[in-house]
Amino acid sequence: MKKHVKLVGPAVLAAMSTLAVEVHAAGTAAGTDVINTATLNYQINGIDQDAVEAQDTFKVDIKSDFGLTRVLTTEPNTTSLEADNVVVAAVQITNEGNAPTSFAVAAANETGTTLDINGETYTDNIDTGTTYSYYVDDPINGTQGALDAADTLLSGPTAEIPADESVTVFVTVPKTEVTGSDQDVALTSVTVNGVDSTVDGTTYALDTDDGDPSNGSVDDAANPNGATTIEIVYADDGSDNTELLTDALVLEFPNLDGDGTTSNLTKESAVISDPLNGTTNPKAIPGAVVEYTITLTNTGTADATNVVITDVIPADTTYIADTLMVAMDGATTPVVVDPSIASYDAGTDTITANLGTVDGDADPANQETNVIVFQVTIN
Amino acid sequence: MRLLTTLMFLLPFSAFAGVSLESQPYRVVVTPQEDGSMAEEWKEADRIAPGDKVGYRITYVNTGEEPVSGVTINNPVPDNTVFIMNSANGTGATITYSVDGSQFAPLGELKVLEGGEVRPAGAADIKSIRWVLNDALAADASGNVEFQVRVK
Repeated sequence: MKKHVKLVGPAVLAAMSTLAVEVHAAGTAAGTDVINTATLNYQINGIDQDAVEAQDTFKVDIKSDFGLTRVLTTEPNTTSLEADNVVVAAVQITNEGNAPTSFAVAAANETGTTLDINGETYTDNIDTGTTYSYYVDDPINGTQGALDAADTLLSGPTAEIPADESVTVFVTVPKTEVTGSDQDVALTSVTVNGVDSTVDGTTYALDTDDGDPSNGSVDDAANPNGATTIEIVYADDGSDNTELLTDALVLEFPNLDGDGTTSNLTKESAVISDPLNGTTNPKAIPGAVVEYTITLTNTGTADATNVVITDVIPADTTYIADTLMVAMDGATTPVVVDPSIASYDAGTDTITANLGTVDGDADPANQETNVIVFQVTIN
Repeated sequence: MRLLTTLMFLLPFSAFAGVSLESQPYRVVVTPQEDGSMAEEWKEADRIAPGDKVGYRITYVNTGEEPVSGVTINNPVPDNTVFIMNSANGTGATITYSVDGSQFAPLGELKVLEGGEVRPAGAADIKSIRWVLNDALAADASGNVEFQVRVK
């Protein structure tokens, strides 16, 4: 047992030194020579002879491996069409291989499929246009994980991503190619292929064309197969040098239309008084005063802006001056407002209300309702 | 004359005695068999990536005309690889291991000190493997020893 104690001492040093060795998740870099050296000692007639040494070398080949993840882990992409480019998918590509690798990214519309994000199921019900642009996130000069002016538009594959590193690619379409209603869902699939890996100054093409995971580019005459040459091993899911990810875009639009059953824009009338009964059970007879109430609610998740309501005074009635009142911006009781906001135009016999922004929100409690009232006399 | 005798005594062996040594790497592939079991196959080392198993076969041949004794093969675990436990074998050889490259012992007796605690040596601690042939190697006789590593 004393012998074992002795072993502990030097072993400590050995264990300590391994701490300094940096091991990448992706493993030993492609192109590294792994050298084995065996040494044989022997004796002839009890006399030590010169040691014999044998050595062999193989090169660590390219392990092509990469993974895709959605940038937004707990929510879909959303748009209210504020920016010119709408992000339909945001994908992080992680090079899990052992060589710097460039990647090609291509998007396509999904139709009718579903995507679960954080326990919620999003069902595709609209397609966006397909004038896709691909931007590489610049986390240093711009905001990490967000499309901004610092990001670079791709005109082909990405630059080579070092082993163990990631890039984020935003797939966008022009906002003119996004049409639909509030809460519509557009699913977009993103297909990523490895394109090139460069090892020791030589660039190796990663092929996807023949679907055969076993051959890589080693069948090329320029890349003979052997222990001391670089081959390509496809280690991604399916070993096909292809990964696919689906991302969701949810439209956050205002909704001034209603849900198809209940309209968000209503107009009601009530007789206030007539010349015979006054305000007691007034009847709609000539000379009676009728009050119109127009109600507009935004039940969408985004604000409606530049909202203007016009209403032509009904035939056979006459607008009563100064009866136009508006409840807006959170007010519930209509009041007389500045003519620049709401006014009656005698020339066109029309009232116009510039409601400006009518707030929408995911929470119905924060959805804005505006009310316009005015009175007319029955001719 | 005494000097000459000494020289004659020392030199001639290299002329007609010797042992050749060769090391060959193989890609170790585990393939399912028809009966459902898994079998290891040693294939050409043309395509080896991180995570792959590599098997080394070290072949020795007594190319001389004299039997040789005390045959000892030392093989440090190559850089960028990790030894695979229980993968070393060699017919008629006693196998010992080292965690520091200088002191060798059977696997079960190796301990390392880490974080102030002594623990049994694991695969990643093995730095070197040693085979000592139990018997002399006759002229023209040959044999081999093997071990496996995993590429980091």
